[in-house]
Amino acid sequence: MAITEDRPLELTTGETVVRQPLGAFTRPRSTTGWRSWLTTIDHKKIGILYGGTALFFFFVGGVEALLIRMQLAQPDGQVLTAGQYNQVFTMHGTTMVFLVVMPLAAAFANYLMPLQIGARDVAFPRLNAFSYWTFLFGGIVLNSGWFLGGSPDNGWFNYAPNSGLAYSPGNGIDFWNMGLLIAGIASLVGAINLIVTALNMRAPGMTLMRMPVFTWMALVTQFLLLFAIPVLTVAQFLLMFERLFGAQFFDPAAGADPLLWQHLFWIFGHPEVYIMILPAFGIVSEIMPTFARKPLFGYPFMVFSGIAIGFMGWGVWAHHMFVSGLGPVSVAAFSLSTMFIAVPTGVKIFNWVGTLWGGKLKFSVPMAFAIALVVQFTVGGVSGVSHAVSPSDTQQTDTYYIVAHFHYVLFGGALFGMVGGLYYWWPKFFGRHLRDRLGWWHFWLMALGFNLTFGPMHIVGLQGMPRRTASYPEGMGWDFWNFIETVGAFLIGVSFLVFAYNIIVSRNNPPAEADPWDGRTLEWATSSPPPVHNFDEIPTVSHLDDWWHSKYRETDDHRLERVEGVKSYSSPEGPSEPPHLPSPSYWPFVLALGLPFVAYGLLYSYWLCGVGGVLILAAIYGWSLEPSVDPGAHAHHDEHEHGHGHDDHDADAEEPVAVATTPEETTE
Amino acid sequence: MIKHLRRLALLPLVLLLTSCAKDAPQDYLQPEGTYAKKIDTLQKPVFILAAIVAVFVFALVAYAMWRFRERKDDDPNELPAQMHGNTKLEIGWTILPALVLAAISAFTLPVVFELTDEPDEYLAVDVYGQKYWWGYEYPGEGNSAYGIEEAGIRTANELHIPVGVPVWLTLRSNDVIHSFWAPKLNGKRDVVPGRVHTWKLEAEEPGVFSGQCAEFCGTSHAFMRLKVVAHDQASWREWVEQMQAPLEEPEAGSLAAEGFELFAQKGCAGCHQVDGAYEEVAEDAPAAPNLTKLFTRDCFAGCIYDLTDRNELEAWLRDPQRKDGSLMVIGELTEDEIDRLYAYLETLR
Amino acid sequence: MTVAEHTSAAHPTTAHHTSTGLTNEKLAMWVFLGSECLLFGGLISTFLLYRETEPKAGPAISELYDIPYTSVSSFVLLMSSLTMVLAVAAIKRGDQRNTRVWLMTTALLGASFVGGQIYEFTVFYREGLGYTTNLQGSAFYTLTGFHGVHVSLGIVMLLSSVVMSLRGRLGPERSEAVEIVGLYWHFVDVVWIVIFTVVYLITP
Repeated sequence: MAITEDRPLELTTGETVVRQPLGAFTRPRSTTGWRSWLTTIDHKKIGILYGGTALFFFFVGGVEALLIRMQLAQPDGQVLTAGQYNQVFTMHGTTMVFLVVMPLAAAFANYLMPLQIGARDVAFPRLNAFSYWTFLFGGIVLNSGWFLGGSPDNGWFNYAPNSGLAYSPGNGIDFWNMGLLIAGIASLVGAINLIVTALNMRAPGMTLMRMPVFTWMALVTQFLLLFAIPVLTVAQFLLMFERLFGAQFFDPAAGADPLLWQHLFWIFGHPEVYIMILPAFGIVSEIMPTFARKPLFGYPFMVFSGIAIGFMGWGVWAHHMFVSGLGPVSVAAFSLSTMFIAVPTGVKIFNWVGTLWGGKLKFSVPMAFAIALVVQFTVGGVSGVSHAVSPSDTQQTDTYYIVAHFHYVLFGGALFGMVGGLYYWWPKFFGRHLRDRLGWWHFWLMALGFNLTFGPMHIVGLQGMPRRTASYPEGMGWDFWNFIETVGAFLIGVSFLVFAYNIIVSRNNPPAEADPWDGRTLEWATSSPPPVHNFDEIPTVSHLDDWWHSKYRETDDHRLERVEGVKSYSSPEGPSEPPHLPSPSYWPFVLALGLPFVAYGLLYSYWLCGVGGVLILAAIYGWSLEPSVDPGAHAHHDEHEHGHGHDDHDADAEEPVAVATTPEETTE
Repeated sequence: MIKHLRRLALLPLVLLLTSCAKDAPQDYLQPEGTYAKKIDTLQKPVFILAAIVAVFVFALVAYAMWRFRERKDDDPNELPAQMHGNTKLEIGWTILPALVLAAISAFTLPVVFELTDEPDEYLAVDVYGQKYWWGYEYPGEGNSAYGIEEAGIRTANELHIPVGVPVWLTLRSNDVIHSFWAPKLNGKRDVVPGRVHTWKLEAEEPGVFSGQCAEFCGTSHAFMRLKVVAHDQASWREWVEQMQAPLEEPEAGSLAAEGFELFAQKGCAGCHQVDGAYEEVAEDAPAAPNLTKLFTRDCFAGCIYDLTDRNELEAWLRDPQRKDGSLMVIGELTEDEIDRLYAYLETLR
Repeated sequence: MTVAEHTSAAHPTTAHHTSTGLTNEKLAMWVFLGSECLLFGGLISTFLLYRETEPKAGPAISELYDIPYTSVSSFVLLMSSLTMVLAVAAIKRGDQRNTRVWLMTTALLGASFVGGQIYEFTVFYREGLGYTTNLQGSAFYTLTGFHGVHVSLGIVMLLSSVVMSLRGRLGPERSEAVEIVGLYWHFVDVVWIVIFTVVYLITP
C-alpha cells in the first residue's frame, strides 16, 4: 500500500541501507488476487497472461474472420460496406499474426523454457513482465481504432504510398503503426531475455544438444525476432515520421520509391512466418515422441534443420514481391532460394513420420492435433513450392490460392500445433486435464471446419479470385465454394465454443499428476502445476530426454524397464532451503503503461506524451533502484542491485553442482 | 479415426480436380493467351508433383497410424524399440527433395526471362492505373503497322487488342500501387507510382477476357475491373477506324446539342477530355477517363457498370459517389439535365 | 554480515555459474547490440537508397558536407571510447576517483559530439536542407538523429554511473556494470564510424 513518507529499510543486522525509491510505494507482496497478476514476475504466470490474452484476441480475430466470410458468402455481399470490409480484413490479419500466434508462442516459450532447461525462471524476470504488459498495451493501441474513428484499412502489410496521409488521412494507419511498434518492443525485449536464459541458465549437464527440441525451436525463433523486429521498426518509424512530421520517405512526388516499404516490410515479414511456425514445430516434436513412446527421430537433424530454416529464411523475402517490378534477375534468384528452403522443412516432416514409425501410438487429443499439423502443413508446404515457381506466382499471387497457402501453414500448422500444445500441457499449467470427449469434439469440428474453409480457397484462387476484395460479382464461378468456405468458418467458430466450454467445465476435473503422459522432458519432473520455484533441487542432466532416462533403464536384453521409486524434483514439503526468488514489482507495468500514453500523445496532444514520459522516467528510476529481491521478504540481505534496470538472475539459487561423474550413456 | 483421416486426406485432391469449372472467366488453369499458356506448362506439372508428394506423405502417416497403433491387448509396460534416427535416411530425404527442386528450378528460370523479354514486333500500349479504373493510350509512334495514326487512341476500362500480335504494355500509376491482371492472358504486373514497368499480352483467339486490379489500392479495390477485347484482323481494323473517326457534331437544337453545352457548364470538361471538342482539363484535375469514344464501350466506372443499360449511366450521373472512393464529384443534376447529358454522351461513338 | 563485507572484493557479485561464462547482463547487452546492428542497417540502407535520387527540392546533401568539421567531431567521439576504456580500467583496480574522472570525460566528449552534430544540423538547415525538404534530408536526419539519441542515452548511463560512484555504490565488484556501459558506448562509436564513412566520406 502507499506510504507517503520516506521509510528506510532496516536489516536484521540493524544497519540501515536502502531507502525506498520515491518513498511512495512499498514492494508488492501479494501472491493471490488481481494484484498478484499485475505485479508478477514469475515466468509461469506471465506465460498464462500471454496465453489468456492471445486467446482473447483470437476471439476478436475470429469474429473479424466470420464477418469476412459472411460478406463473401454470396456475390455482391451487402453485409459490410467496402470501407468496413477493408478495416475488418486488415485487423483480422494483423490481429492473428501479432496478437494471437506470436503471443501464444511466447506463452509456451515463457512457461516451458525455464522448466525444460532446469532453471527457476528466465534471466530477467521483471523485464519478462514488462514484455507482457507492453504487448498488451500494443494490442490495445492497435485495436483502439474501433473506438476512435476508424481502424487501419490498408491490409496487414500496409503498403506505401496508400499508407501515407494523402490517401489515408485518418488515424487508422497510425494505430496500426504505433500499436505494432509497441508490440515490437515486447517481442524484442522478450527475445533478449529468452536468448540469455537458454544460453546461460541451463541446468548442469544440459549441453545445447541435450536441450529439448521445443526449447531449441523457441531459441531459434528468438534470434529471428531479435534481427527481424528492428527492420520492421525502421519501416514503421519512417512511416510515422512521414505521417506526423512530413518527412519524405515514400511519396513518389518527392522521388521516393514505394518499393522501399515493401523491402523493409518483407525482410521482416518473411522471417516472421518462421517465427510463427517454429515454436509449433517444437511443440509437435515434444508431443509425438510422448505418444509414440519412442524418441524424436533424428534429433540432431531436427535441431539443424530448424537452424537452417532460421538462416535461409533471410534470403527469400522478395518472393512476396515477384510482381512488384524487381527485374528478372532478382526474381530468378529469389525463386531459387525460395525453392530450397523447402528442403529443411521437408526433413522435419519426414522425421516426424519416422517418429511415428515403429512406435506404440496412443491417439490422444494432443497427438491428433500434432498429426493434423504434419498433414496440413504438408499441404501448405507443397503449395508454397508451387508459388516458388515465380512465373506461376505471377498468376497465383494476390489470389485466394495464396490465402489458402498461408492459412494451411499458419492455421493448419501453427495454430493446430499450439492448440495441441494447450491440451498437452494444460495439466502442467493448471493442475487439471481438459476433458477428453470435449477435446475430440473440438478437434474434429476444427479439422473439418478448417479444411472446409481453406481447402476450396485453392480452387477459387486458381479460378482467378483476387484477395483483399470486399465483394465479387456473379458469374465468375466462385459462388459455390465461397458459400462452403463460410459454412466451414462457422464450424471453426463452433469448435472454439466447444473449447471454451471445455476450459470452463474442466475447472472441476480431479487434480492431475505431475507426469500424466509419461513424458520425456524436465517439466514433467515437477508437480502439476510446478511450485513457484519450479524445482526443489536443480536437476543435474546427463542425457537428452533426461527425465525419461531417470524413469527407464536399459536391461541386459536391450529392453527398457521402469525404474522404481523415481521422485519428481518437487515435493509437497518443498525444498530443504528455500531458494532466492525475485520479488514481484509494479515497475514493469508502469514502464509499459507509459508507452501508449506517448503513442496517443503523438496523435492527440503532447501533454499526453508528457504524462507518458513521466511514467517512463519514474519507472526506469524506480526499477533500477529496486533490488530484484525485496530485502524485506527474506531474512538475509541480497546485495544485487544494478544501475540500469537489468535484473540479476538470482532466480538460480544453487551453487553449481559438479557435473555428474557417472559414465555418460550415449544418446544414440 | 484412421478411416476418417484417410478420407479427409483425399478431400484436397478431390477439390483440386473439381476446379475445372466451365463458367469461370478468370480461371487461369484454362489459359487462353500465349503467355498464360506458357506459365501453365510450368504450373500444372508442379501441381502434379506437389500432389504426389502430399499424397505420399499422407499415405505414410496413415499407414504408420494404422500399423503402429497401440492395440488393446498390448502389454502396457512394453515399450517399442527406442530408435533415435537413421543417418542414411536423413541424407536421402535431404538430397532427393533438393534434386527435385533443382530440376523444377531448371525449368523455371528460362520462363522467368521469356516472360520479361521484349518481343521484336509489338503493338505498344500505355496503361495507366488510378483509383479505381484503368486507362489506355495507344501511341501513334511505332504503331502504324496496326493502323494507329499519329494522334493515337485514348480509351479506358476495355483494352482492345488484335489477335496473334504481342502487345507490349508500359504500366504506370497515377496514385498508389495497383496491379494489372487479365488472368486468361498472362500473370499480373504491379503498377507503381514513380516507376515504369513493362508487361506483355498476346491473345490467340478472339474473345473477351475478364480481369481486375490485383494489388490492394484502397476502398474500391474490388471494383477496379477491366476487360481485354481481342479482335480478329477485320474486326481490329474496324475498331481502330471507329476509334480514329472524328466525332459527329450533335444536330443543332437537339437534346444532344444541349447536352454538349451542359458538359462544359456542369464541369465535366474540367476532368474528362473529348478529342476535338473538350481538350483542356483543369490543372489540378484528378485523372479521368477520356470520353471521346465512350459509347464504343460496354462498361464504365472500373468496368463495374453496364453502359448498354441506360439506367446504370443515369444512376451514375445522379450520384457518382455510389462507388466508394470515386473521385468524380459533381453538383446535383436535374432529370432534364441528365437526359440531355445522356443524349450527348450517346453520340460519342 | 555487513553490507561492506557483502560487497568486498573478495565476494564477487557474479557468483552464479552460467553456461557461456558471461554474466546474464553482459550477454544481454551483446544480444541487444546484435539487434541494433539491424536497426542501424535499415536506416543506413534507406539513406544509401535515397542518396542516389536527385532531390526534387532543396540541395543535395553531399554539397553541404563540411568534412573537416565532421572529422573533428568524429575524432572527439573516438577519443571518448578511449576514455571509456580508461574508466573501466580504473574501476577494476579500485580507483574510485579516476573512475569518475574518466566516466565524466567520456560523457563530456560524447556531449561535445552531440553538440557538434546539432550545430552541423543548424548549418545544413540554414543552407536549405530541413527535415522535410527532400528524401536525402529526411533519411540523413533520421539516421543521424537515431544515432544521436543513442549517444545521449549513453551519456545518461555514464552520468548515472558517476552519481552511483559518488554515493559509494560502484565498487570494483560492480566493475561489470561499467564494462557493460562501455560495450554499449563502443558500439555506438562503431556505428558512427560506419555512418561517417558511408554517409559522409563515400559520395557518389
